Amino acid sequence: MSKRSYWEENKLLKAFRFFAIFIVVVISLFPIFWMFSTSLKPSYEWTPATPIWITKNGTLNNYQTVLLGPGRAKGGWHELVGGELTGSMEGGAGKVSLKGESALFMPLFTSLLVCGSATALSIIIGMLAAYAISRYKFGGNFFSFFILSARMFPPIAVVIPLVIMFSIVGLLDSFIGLIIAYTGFTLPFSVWMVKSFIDEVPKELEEAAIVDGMTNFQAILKVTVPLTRGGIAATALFVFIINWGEFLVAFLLSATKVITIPVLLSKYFTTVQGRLYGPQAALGIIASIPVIIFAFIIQKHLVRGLTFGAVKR
Amino acid sequence: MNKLLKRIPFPVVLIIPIQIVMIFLLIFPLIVNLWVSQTNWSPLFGAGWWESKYIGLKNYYDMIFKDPRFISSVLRTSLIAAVCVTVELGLGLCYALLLVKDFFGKKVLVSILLLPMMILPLVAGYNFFMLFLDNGPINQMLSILLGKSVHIPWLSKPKLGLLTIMVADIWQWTPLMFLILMAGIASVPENQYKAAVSLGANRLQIFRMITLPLIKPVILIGVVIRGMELFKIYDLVFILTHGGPGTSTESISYYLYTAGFTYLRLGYIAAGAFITLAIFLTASYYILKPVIKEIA
Repeated sequence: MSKRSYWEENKLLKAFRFFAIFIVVVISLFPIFWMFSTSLKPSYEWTPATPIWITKNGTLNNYQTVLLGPGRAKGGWHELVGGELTGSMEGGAGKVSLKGESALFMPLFTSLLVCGSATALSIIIGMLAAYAISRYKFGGNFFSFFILSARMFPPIAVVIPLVIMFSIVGLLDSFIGLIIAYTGFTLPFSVWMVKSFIDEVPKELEEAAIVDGMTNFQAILKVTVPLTRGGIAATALFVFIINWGEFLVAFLLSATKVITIPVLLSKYFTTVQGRLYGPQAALGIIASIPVIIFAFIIQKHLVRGLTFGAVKR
Repeated sequence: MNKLLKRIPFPVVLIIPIQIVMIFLLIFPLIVNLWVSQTNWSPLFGAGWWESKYIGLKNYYDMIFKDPRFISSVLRTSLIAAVCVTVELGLGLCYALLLVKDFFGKKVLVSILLLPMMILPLVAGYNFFMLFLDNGPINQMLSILLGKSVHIPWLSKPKLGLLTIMVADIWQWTPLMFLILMAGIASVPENQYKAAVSLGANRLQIFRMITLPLIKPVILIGVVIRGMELFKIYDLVFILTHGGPGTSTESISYYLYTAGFTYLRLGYIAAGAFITLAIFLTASYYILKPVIKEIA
C-alpha cells in the first residue's frame, strides 16, 4: 500500500484542495512578485496614482545603482533628483551619509563575513554545549531554560550595556564586536536544535570509538559530527537567516564603518524623494538569493531540523 | 595546559566556551543594566554612567505607574503576539494538511511556500509598505472588486496600521509554522491511522483524536519560537508605521528604542527592559515547562 493511501478523497474534495493550494501560492508569491516588478521600474513608476503591475519601460538602473553605488550608475535616481543619499535615522553608533562612492560590495562582504563567522562560531560552541547537555544531562532543566531564556531578552536590554562595554574595549563599530554579539544572540537556537540531533545518535557508537583509542574530542569530531551533518546544516541555515536579516543590533553596534546589508537598506532614502523603492527592491532581490540557494540545497534536512527534537524517530 | 584540561571533567570542558560567551554577553550587560536602571543616567548630562546619580527604584515606579505609553505598548505587543501566533498556527496547520498527501511537484511547492521566510524581514516590511500604500495595489484590487474607488489609509490609522503589521508578520512567518507542523504530521506513525481507519473513523475524528494529540509538542515548540520573536517585534513597526500615528502602533521594543535614542533617557529604559524581561520570563517559564519536559 502506498503511503497515505488512507486519505482517500472524492473529486470535489480534490478540486477544493488544489484550489486552496493555488490561493496559498498566489498569496505567498504576490509580495515577492511586486518586489521583483518594482526593481525593474524607472523611478517615476515607483508610486504612480494607479499602480503599474508590469512595467513597459523596464530598466536595470536600480540594479546598477545598487551594484555600483549611486554615483556611478548612469541615469539613476540621483541624476533626476540631484540630491545626495543620507542616513534616515539618528542615534546608534553614528550617522551615516552614503555618498556616491559607496557600492554594494563592502556591505555584502561585511554581511557575508559577519554572518558566516557568527554562524560558524555559534554552531561550534552550541554543538559542544549541546553534547554536554545531551550526553551528561549537564545542569539539568535549569541550564537548558537558562540558555533558551537568552533569546527572550528584549534586544534593547542587552544592547545598551553592550554599547557601553564595547566602547570601553574598542569593539564598537568593528567586525569582531558584531560577530561576538551575533554569536551570543543565536546560541540558544544552535544549542537546542543541535541537541535534538545528537539525541538521535546512539551513545554506544561514541563509546565504541573511545574504546578503540580515540579521545573524547576525537569521538565527537569523527563519530557524532558526521552523523548529525544534515541537522547541523539545517541549524546553520536557520541561524544564518536570523543573522542575515538582523537590523537593530547591527544598526546600534556599528553603522559607520561596518555596514551590513539591512543597515544599507535602511539608508536608501533621500530627503527629496523619500524612500527609494526601486533600489530597495533590487537590493532585496539580491540579498535574498544566497539564502534561497542555501535553503534549496538542504531542504530535506530543513523540515525536520526546526522541530527542536519534538519529533522523535 | 593539556594536563590542566584533563583534570577538569569532560562535560565542564564542553560548557566553558558557551559560559564565556554568556557571561560576556548576558550576565555582565545585565549587571551594568541593573546599575544603570537605578540611576538617572542620560548622556545629555555629560556624566559617565558610573558617576550618575543613584535614585533607587524610581525608574521602575515611574514606568509602571506613571507611563501609560509603556503600559499600552506592552498590551499592544501582547495583542500582536497573540493574534499573530494564533493565525500563523491555524494557517500553518491548514498548509500542512493541504500538503499531507504526496503528489507530483510537492517538493517544489514546499520550496515556494517557504520563500517568504527567506526574505529579509526589513525587505518584507518595505514590500508591504508598497502594497498597502494609499495608491498601492491592495487598494487598487479592492477598488476593482468592490466596483468603486477605494482609498483606505492602511498605514496612517491606528487600527489599520496594527492590522497591516500583523498581516506582514503572518505572511512572513506562517511558513515557519507550516514547516514545523509538517514535520510533526509526517512523524505520526502510519499504523495509528491504519488502526483508526479499520475501526471506521472518519477524517475529522482521525485528525482530532490521533493527529492533534500526537503533534502537541511540535505545536508548543512553534508557539514558543514565534511568541519569543513576536514579543521583540521591531523591524515591521519601524518600517510600516514608525509607531504612528502618534504612538498608537508602538511595540515594546519600538518604544524603548525611541525613549532610549531619541530622548536619551538610558536609565529609564534600562528599567523598562528589566520590567519586560520579568514579564517574558514568567510567561515563558509557564509555557516552556511542558515543552522542556517533552523534549529534554
